[in-house]
Amino acid sequence: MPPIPLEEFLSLLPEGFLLTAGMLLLIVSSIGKGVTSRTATVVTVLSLALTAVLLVWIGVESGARPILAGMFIVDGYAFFWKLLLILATGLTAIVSCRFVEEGGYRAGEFFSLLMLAATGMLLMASGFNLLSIWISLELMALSSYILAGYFKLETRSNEAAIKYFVLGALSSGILLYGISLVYGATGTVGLEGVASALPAAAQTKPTLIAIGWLLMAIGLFFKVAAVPFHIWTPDVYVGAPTPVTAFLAVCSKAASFAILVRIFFVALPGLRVDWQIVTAAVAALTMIWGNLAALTQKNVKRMLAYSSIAHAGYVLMGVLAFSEDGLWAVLFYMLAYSLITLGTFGTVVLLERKEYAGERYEDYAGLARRAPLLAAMMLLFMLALTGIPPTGGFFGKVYLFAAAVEAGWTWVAVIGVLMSAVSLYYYLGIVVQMYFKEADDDTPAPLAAPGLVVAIGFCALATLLLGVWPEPLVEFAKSSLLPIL
Amino acid sequence: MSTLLDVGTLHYLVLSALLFLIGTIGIVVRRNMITVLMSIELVLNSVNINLIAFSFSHGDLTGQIFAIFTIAVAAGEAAVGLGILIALFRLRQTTELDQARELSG
Repeated sequence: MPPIPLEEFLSLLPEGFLLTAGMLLLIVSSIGKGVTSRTATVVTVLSLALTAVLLVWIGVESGARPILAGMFIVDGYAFFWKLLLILATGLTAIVSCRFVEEGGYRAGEFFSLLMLAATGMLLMASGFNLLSIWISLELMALSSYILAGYFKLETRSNEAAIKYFVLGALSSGILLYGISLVYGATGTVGLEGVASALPAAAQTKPTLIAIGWLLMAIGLFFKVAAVPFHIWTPDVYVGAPTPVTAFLAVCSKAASFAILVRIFFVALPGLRVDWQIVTAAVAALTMIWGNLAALTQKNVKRMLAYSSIAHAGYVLMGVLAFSEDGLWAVLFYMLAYSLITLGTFGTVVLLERKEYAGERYEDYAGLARRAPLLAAMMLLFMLALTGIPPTGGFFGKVYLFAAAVEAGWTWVAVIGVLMSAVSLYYYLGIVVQMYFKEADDDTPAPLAAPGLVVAIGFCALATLLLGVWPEPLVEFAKSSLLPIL
Repeated sequence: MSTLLDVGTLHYLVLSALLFLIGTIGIVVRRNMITVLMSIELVLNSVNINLIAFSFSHGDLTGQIFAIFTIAVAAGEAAVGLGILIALFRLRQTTELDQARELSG
């Protein structure tokens, strides 16, 4: 076997750096009194910024380059997801700062776990082998389980961690079982190797292949929270600390979509017809159930959980199109969705207290009078989640629907449009409270946290910018595609 | 000459499928966190049997290396699971999952 040149290791420098930073923070935070939440936030944001700089410095050479004996790949597709994940994790860190401070637990642990989870996500985006993809996924998942239970003396947080752990472990097990069957049928776990061995294996071992890819797909649908594999989502999203909920709804979902698309497009193009049908059914169910269930929710975090399920359904439309247009629509939409969702959860955090204020619709009453700017930004996020111009959410949805129609999946797109109209009802529930209801005495006042407000403002500005001038991001997404076979 | 009594890949596959089913049902049905943790281990180990059986029949080492990774990850998963379990026990003095039922609707 030829030796691996040093530059291949250097290609993973961003991940290595982030991993080291996370570990160092963990060590430092366990000495004496540890570090304050503010210090930890600054360290995390700086580390992520440096990771992004390293990422851009290494850059993307022309064409995709598998490294480390085909374990990982450096390509434009991974580059896009990594930038998205770094940005979203950085914003999550800023959103968490005040929250972690008030929680009163060791702050360093929270932020180091955030960085470790982010490392797993970056590796997932680069994964080019079922083995490396699975290990990276586990790095993300194990860190996320602990993050969900970070407020360990609060029963809700603990319950969220248990539910997330049990169902997450089950989904990892299902995914892994599927991988083992695919390995049995094809004799390899490299994505390209699987793709090239698939046609022959489908002839000789059709049962192994069929069960194998289906179990893999189920595991992945679990991770992106698609119906009917979404059962864990509402409880975990409500019980977890709100910044962690944002992290799960944005980063965990984005990284899972990155590997879902990579596996479907690179390893399983030979089974395109099969997985398109399954994905279409799952996407339709997800959009219908996510939106209908969100209608009846009384708790804002629970409503946002169902809304995030519904959004996974929209993104799956772009996946099932199996076209270049569908793929860049997925990338565009995930970025827009990440910014909008982080902004929304940031606003929830601003209103949140120990007694879980900010989770009832009534807590938003009269916000337009008490904090006009914050209310205006929340209005923008709600419109963007519905998909109303001029917001990034509008263009994201238009691109996804167009790609699905173009690929001949008109019925799925029609369901998507109808369900978007339904979603207006529950998103506007918050807007009605903010603008047309009066606050009473126990309505919480928003926290005075300048960093958090700046982060929300950034999300709002980006959402608006994507709504009036989407071309640069569209161009960037178009340059980050996977080859479609 | 191979007979039904010779142990081949298919036998391992059946064994691992059974273990996988028992583990999955255990995770879904059992209400005690410790039993659930054991069921998770069953699922992961059923995968190991698959990987090693296929590795042997293909004459390819990837499966065995994969199994070593799976064992390592299973250890990590057990550690995290037990950590969460201890937090549950400290809060409620029980390992029964039915006691943790605040979030629903």
